[in-house]
Amino acid sequence: MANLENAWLIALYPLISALLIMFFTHKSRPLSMGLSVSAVAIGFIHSLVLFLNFHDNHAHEVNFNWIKAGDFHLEMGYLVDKLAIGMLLTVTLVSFLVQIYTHAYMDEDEGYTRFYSYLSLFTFSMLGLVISTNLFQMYFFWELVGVCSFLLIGFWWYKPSAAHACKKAFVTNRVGDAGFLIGLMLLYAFTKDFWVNGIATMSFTSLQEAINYAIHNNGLELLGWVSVTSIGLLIFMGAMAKSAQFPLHIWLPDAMEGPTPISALIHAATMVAAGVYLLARIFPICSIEGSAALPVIAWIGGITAIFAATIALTQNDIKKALAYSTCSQLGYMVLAVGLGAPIIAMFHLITHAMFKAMLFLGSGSVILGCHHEQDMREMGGLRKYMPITAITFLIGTLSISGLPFMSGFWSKDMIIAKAFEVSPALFWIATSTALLTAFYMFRIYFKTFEGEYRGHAHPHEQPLAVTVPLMVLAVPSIILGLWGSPLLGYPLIHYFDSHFHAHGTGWGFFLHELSQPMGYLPLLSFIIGTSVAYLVYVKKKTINDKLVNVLAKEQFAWLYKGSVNKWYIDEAYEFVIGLFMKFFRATWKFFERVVIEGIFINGFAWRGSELVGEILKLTQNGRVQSYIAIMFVGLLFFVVMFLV
Amino acid sequence: MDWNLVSKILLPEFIILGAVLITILLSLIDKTKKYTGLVATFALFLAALVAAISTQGEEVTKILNSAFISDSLSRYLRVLIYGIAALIALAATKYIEKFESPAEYFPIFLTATLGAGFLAGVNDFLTLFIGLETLGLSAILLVSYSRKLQKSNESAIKYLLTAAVATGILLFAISLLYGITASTNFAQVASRIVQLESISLLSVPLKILISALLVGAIAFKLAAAPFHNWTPDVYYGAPTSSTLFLSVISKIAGFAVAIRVFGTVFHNEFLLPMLSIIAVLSIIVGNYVGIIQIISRGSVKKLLAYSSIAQSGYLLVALACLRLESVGSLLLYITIYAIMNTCAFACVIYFEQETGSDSVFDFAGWIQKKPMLTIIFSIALFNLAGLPFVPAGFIAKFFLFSTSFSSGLIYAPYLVIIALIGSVIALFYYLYLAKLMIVDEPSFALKQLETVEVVAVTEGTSKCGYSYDPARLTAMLSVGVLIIVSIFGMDYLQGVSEMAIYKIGV
Repeated sequence: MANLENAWLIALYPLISALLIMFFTHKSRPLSMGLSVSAVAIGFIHSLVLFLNFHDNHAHEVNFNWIKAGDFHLEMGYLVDKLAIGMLLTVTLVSFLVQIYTHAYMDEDEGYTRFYSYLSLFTFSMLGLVISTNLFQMYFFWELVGVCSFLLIGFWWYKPSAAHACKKAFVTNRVGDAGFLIGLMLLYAFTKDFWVNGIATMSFTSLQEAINYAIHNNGLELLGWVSVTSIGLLIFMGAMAKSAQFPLHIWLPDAMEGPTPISALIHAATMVAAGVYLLARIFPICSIEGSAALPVIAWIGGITAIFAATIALTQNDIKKALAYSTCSQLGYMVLAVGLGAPIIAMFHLITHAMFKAMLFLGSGSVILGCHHEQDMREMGGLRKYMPITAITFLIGTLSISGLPFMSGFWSKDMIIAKAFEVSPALFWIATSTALLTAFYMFRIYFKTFEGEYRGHAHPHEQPLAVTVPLMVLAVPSIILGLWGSPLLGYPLIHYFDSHFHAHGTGWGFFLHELSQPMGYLPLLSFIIGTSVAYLVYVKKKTINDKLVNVLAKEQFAWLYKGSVNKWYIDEAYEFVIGLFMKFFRATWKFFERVVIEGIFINGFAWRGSELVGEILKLTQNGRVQSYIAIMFVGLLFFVVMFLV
Repeated sequence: MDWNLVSKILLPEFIILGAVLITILLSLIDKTKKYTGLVATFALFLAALVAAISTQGEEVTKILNSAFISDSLSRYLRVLIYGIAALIALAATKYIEKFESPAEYFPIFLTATLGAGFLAGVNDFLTLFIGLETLGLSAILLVSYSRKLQKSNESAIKYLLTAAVATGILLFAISLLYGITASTNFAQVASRIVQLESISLLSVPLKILISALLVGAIAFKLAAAPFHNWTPDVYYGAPTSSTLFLSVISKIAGFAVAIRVFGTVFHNEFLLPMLSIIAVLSIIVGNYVGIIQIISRGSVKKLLAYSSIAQSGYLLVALACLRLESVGSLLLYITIYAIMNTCAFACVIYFEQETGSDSVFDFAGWIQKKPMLTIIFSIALFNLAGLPFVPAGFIAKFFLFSTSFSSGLIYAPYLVIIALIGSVIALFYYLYLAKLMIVDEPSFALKQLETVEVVAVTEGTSKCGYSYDPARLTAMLSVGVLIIVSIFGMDYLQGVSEMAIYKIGV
């Protein structure tokens, strides 16, 4: 099939457009935009054709030699399976819509064409990551994604906050990537002799066999410092940083300093999705019988979910609040992987990509409408001014909060149901997160779009380039989840995983599930969260003449403060690292000043050399008599030295 | 005696001899004085070419009553000496015009080169002596050539006096050797010494004395410490083209003699420690005083003199290890060194022609005047320092040190470590000079130059009778050779230099 053989072109189109824009068309705005948008549009159509024509259950994989040195060899290639196709579709669709949106958002910016070239490069990196055949290639594109995010978050580099944010994102990701790389090397060290006879090194399709081989033939332990568990967790560290899992989540909210389209792209389809996608790919390593990696992953996901949700409760910056919501949703996905259901995680990833992209683009629309105001206290009542944005935002809010039959409802409840099967504690965490989610999402919605306008600008609806992507994204936000629902018999889940075993399908099963705790509790939490938000922010209920939210703020001041200040994680890092830095700075300063500079540079190198040179120079006194005398002394020295 | 064989083997030397005669005649009739230099260049180049393409050296042939040996080593060294001498002659062509009776420079130059060429194939202590004196006496004339300058005369006297002492030392050694072996021929001396040793008739003090005298006499030619003191003074006072000759041709000839004498004739357990000691001393003196030279704003020629002392030290490390591999890499390194040094000195010659100065600080900001030449000079300096910027210098140095390191000599690693430390120290003055030229503001001398040039142009006089400045051409040629060798020829050159050592005749 020609489309299959050319699948690598999907990733290549944006690279070509990025290079063309960088080197040739950066002077022309329409040309650059056209190139970038059409590249990703062609990619989307190509992925769609692939999706319609690809029905194999096994992966289609092509490898080329990249590096070869003795027994060591690395391959580059492309791998097409249903998982990859799902990601390709999601990435190209979101990227396409974001790029259309960018046209309006960045219209007044000087870096318009530069932004497009970065966007193309970013899309290329992500698509390359998706079609990677092996872990090394994925690591390569993984780093490219990191670099692109650095470029894009710091797009307005002249703003100190943006410069700090991109640095923070990059450094935090380095921490994760270090783990990833160590994990890779450990894995390679134990499976070195497996990758012979033409098996592509670290290829995903052979990971399972390789890890079994390492356990049986090379004595790889199941638990311990160097074990299947530690390898899985080290690679998971990379995913932790990219997918913003606690405690490496700190970069994600700061990444809001970038232009809003890039926030949408990072948060929906590209960077943060890479971590979950990686987990889905390395699932064979983590899920080996006896490995303790999965529970750790599940708990990290669960903690991230509820932890980020509590922070999102009190944020006033609309983008920051959404950022923590992303963080929390990513926690769900990682939790799903940890529960042993990577396909459900991918399902949530895809539905989340749709509504989160829409929410972010909607927030960008609001920000544009309010003349670059991001503080929700300066908004309110925007529904009157920006109806399309408000409706789509409401759809997104309902979807993420879990209104039945919306996309987010199906994917999230599947995760919660899975948690119910595996671990009650995680189930309660996931359910309370759902409650918090409903509350904070409606808090955002009500504060922004309901009530009276509190700001001083003149809000207005945005042009078509902004509203059309919102409306397009609204459709999958509502209905995409149905394909993964029991009502239609889980076609999407079956597409990804033909072995997926469903407990039942159809309306009857659905209603039966709803009558179970794992069905009605999330629904209940949605209702409670939404109504509390409604009472507090729309009805403005008072207790003792005080607004409920103000009262809560006063009564639980320490909780409120903790949440507003993101539970002081940044400060904790600063304190701990600062302590180390102070200690090392002091010792190294001493070492540098006294030992290196004092003794070596100024002592030996400068004074010492000078002294030796000056002494030796004395022999060079210009008198030929002394020269000859020195020659004879030399001869005499030789004779005497060897005679004695 | 088979004159056919002699004329065949010594054809390059005959060409040079012919060129000596022609240049003497030319100097009488050539009014513009520029053709003598070109004839000398051409003759030397031809000699190098003839030596290179002739089949001699395939087998070991002794001619002139075993006074001259034709083997792979002598062929290699003669090609090298004549080729480099051709470059030097080219560089000198315009430079020596400012002296009185410039045309006679080249007959002397050619004679000196002839002496060096003979030393490449020396096989008899008398040939050795005559070759050294041909080289040395001619070199003294070359040093004294700018005879109106006091410093030139001073250098010549110093060189004459110290060379006389060195010759005396050498003659003493030769006479002692003749005394115990009743021969001056290398092969006979070698076999007699072995005979005497086998019956324990050779006393230890005598061995030590002869070793010390030979090492001293040859170290003088190599400008190795503590027999180096003449070097900075002579290099500084001599015309720069003569300095270049001394620092390259003399040195190659010295190593030719050293390899022959120590490698095949006179070899005992005291020799290697002595060579090691002078190697270490040379590295220390060359590098440390080089630093002083540059921070006390000395002369670039003196700086390069110290650099050449240090380079002798590195080469002596390889010689002290005295294995086939290490001596092979010594040949490789001295080849690259000769090209690098020629390049560097050609740049200095050009600079001197332009500004009349050779002070370190007058080089500041040269890049703003002559960017191409500055870059060439920097490349030469980087290579001398052993940086892989055009990797020839680095690769040669790497081979030199790695073969010495693994030579099996018990203290070879220490020698190599000292040489490495010396290289690091040397970085300072090489890079400082490069930094001065590239980064700093132009010096007063260079700024002045501009006005002089403007005046010259407005007056409509051409400063230079050449379509292309020969010193500049030399610099370009040598750096071109360096680049081509680095890219294509390091393997080849290494192979050739190793073969030259493997087929050495006794």
